[in-house]
Amino acid sequence: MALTNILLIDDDKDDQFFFIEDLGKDKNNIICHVADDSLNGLQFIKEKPHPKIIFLDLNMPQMNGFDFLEVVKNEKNVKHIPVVIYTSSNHHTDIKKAEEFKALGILTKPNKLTNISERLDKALGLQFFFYNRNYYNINQ
Amino acid sequence: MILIVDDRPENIFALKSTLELNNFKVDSALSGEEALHKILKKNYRLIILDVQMPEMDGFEVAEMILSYSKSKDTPIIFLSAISKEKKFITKGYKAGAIDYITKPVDPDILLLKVASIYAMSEQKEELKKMQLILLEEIEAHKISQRELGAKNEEMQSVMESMPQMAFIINKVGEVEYINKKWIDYIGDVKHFPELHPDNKDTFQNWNAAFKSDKEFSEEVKLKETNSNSYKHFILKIIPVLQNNIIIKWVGTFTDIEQQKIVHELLEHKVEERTSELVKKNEELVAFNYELQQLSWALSHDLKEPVRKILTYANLIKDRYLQDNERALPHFNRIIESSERIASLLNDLLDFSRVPGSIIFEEVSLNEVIKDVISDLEIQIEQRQAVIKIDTLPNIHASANHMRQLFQNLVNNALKFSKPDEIPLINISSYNVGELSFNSKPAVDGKFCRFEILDNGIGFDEKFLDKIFLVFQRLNNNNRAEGTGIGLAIVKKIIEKHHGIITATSKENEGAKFIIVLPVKPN
Repeated sequence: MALTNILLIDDDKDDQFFFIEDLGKDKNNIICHVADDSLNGLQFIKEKPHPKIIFLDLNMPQMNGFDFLEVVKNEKNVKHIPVVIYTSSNHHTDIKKAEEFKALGILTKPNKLTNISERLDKALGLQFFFYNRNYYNINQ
Repeated sequence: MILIVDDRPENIFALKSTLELNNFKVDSALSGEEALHKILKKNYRLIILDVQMPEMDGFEVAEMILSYSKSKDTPIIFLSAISKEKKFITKGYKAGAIDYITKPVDPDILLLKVASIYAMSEQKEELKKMQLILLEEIEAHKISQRELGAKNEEMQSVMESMPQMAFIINKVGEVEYINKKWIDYIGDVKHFPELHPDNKDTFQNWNAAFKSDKEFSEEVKLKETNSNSYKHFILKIIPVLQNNIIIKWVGTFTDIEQQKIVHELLEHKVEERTSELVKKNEELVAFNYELQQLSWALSHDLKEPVRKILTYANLIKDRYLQDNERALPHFNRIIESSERIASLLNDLLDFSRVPGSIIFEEVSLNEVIKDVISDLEIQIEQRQAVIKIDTLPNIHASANHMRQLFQNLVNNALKFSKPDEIPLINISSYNVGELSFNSKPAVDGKFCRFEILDNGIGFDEKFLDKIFLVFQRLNNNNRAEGTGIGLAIVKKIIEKHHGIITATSKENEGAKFIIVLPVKPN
């Protein structure tokens, strides 16, 4: 089975840990790259192979998630990479903004491990018609 | 009438005949005594008196006649045949006669004399009458003058006793009278009080009122001569009418210095209080903002660690405690409590996020409610709730707030449903004319009324004013979830949209929330 490259950009060590733990049994099929902040994230996607999907925290020092998203979506080499906002915020303004910034969707950081990989599959599978909807909340 | 006095009847007869022929009325007396009797009873225009008579001669009779006030002006002609000497004539004139005629008498001359004296006497009488009338008139005039004087005096005493400075102006605009208060204040009778430069238009305004016969009133500042300071007065000038014609004007300056001082003091106080209030208000706004920031920061920053506690706790529970029957229930309590903290923080965040001002946009409430139902899908499925929704209108509001509003209300209805009954929730709406819960439906009404009806556990209406307060939970029942913030957020949103909300309910018989919102903001 082909390995899937994914990128997590999050400055929080605990959340990095949760995310990787949550990939669970599938983590052998997935290579999860972790960037501590947006700048490292940008550095990472300059080189190929590009990650299949990016999980992006919003609340980060220096360059926050939306700043990162804006740069990526305006860079023709990388704008095709789907970005899922990965945040503890579930506020409508953030969801709306995510939609405006052409994020694939929003994944709310859960209170417990939820087997993220299932939803990861879902997210990857849905990306082609995602933009036809107002927004897609992959929590559900 | 002419009186002829002669002791000889033939003389009387001759003279009487001549005079009567010439249309004179004639009376006669045969002695001085008789003549005097007659004179007392009647008025004669002329007396023709014989000088030589027995008992009283003509001179004596004349003296008597002229001593009566009644007859003192009656002209007397002496007639004598014997006393023709100069001394008698002189005596006759001295006795008061107007003429002295000696016999023989030329009847024509006598007639002419009588006629002219008679006419003179008549004129004199006329004059006397006229004089009397004049005198009467003068008297009447004097009386009326006195009355007028009394009236004037009365008016002046009224004006003097007035607490105001008062003055009278005649119809051409000259000052006719000023009272003592004026003199006391101005110290001068000749000049009009000096007005403060601020009142430069007063005379012009007054003149306009004067010309258009209108009452005039204005607040002015007058210079007090003694202290050289200005005081506040109300100048009022009113026309005095007689038979609908203005005969004069009465003006007053009413001292309002005290009121003015009190007023200014009050105004100053009010200003002071207002600025204090404004300052307090600003402080409150700032404080409120800080509090909002604080509660946002607190809940936001607390949320992360709580979420991590929960995640780690869940991880530990799932991985290491599944077989530990003694630790598991306690650990579940940790997780439940942490979940409660997390949900409290979430609601607090929502509450602190309702900002001071909102951006209005056209919102399709149908779309909003669709999103809300989809967000609450899990809960709705869990309770197998049946939700019936009317077609809802588009209104001008904040879309996010409307979503939050309906989410909280539907969530509330779900939370407080009866455990053994299928929850039924009905959302309906219609337009109304006024911002009132009692307003009747109106197709083009400027307000929209919403009803959210459920069949849940309800509440006692005596707690109505409590349900919209933060952290008020009426149901201490474990089945009833919630943080007690949901309805507070609803109320806050309604208020920000200038709407009203209330609810009706009975315990165990469901609740109905009623909202009235403007279709468009003002």
